[in-house]
Amino acid sequence: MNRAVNSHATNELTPQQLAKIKQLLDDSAIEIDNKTLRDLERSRKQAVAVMENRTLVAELQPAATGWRYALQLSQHGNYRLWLMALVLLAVLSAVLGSKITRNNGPIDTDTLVLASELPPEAYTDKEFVAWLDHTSRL
Amino acid sequence: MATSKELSDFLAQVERRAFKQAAYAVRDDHTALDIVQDAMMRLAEKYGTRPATEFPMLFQRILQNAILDHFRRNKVRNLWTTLFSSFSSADDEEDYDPLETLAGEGDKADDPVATLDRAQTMKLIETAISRLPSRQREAFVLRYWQELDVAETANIMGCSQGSVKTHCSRAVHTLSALLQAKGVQL
Repeated sequence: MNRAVNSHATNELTPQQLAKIKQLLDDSAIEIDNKTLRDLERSRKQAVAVMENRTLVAELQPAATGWRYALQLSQHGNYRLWLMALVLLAVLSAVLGSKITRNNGPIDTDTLVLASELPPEAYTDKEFVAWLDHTSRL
Repeated sequence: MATSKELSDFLAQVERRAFKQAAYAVRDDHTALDIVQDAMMRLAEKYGTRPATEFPMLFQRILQNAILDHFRRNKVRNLWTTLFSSFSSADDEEDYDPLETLAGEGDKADDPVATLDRAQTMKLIETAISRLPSRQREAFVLRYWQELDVAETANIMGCSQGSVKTHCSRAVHTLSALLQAKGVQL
């Protein structure tokens, strides 16, 4: 206490007094009202969201640059022609594919019958059918 | 590079003190909140990719700049409204005498030494700090509350280490005089 009084007399603060002031300031920071704390929390979350968005943009930057580079190439070279050819090819493939699929059924049946080791007449022969039934039961 | 969690943890750790620092400077809680929010956003936008270890110094510098920006804006605004604005003391802050502003309040209490409790002492010190000239307050808060060394404080304040020592010395003298005038014994 004497030291405090002496320090007052010389207009100085002792380390203990400065520590006490620091403690009081710390306490005042702890005793901030709830509304202000909520506002601070909201501000903090906004700042963190901004940082996360910036990080995401930075991560996507190489991919975006790649696409931009490819687009520039296609604009300056003959890549547009290639692109159109690819689209045309895709359309033609789709049309031809649908035609083939539509005619596939009868063609496959005929091919199978003709490729068989048995002659087509065998399937109309009653004795052969009877023999086939008997064999399949065994 | 710092993660978003590191940034969040850091801001959660310093936001209360930052708010009080700003409030001491601008003497208005709403404005102080705006300043802290602005400082947080600036840190995240411009320095979010820096290592987390750099956050304390960066944030302090940003916060001090945000407070200065506030005073600059007010100064310009006040020039157009009145010559006798409340912030005109920024021009001649070295001549500013906080004792004059506290003199009226001191008359209310007959025996402050006996009656001031902790809350009142806290309030008195907060008021005294908020009424220090801005550079003295800045130096005092950074050195004695944030416990930064002279070099760090000088770096944040953008001045020489000698200036920091001068500001701190004057701040301590002023605070001591204020406490003495109010009869506060710590």
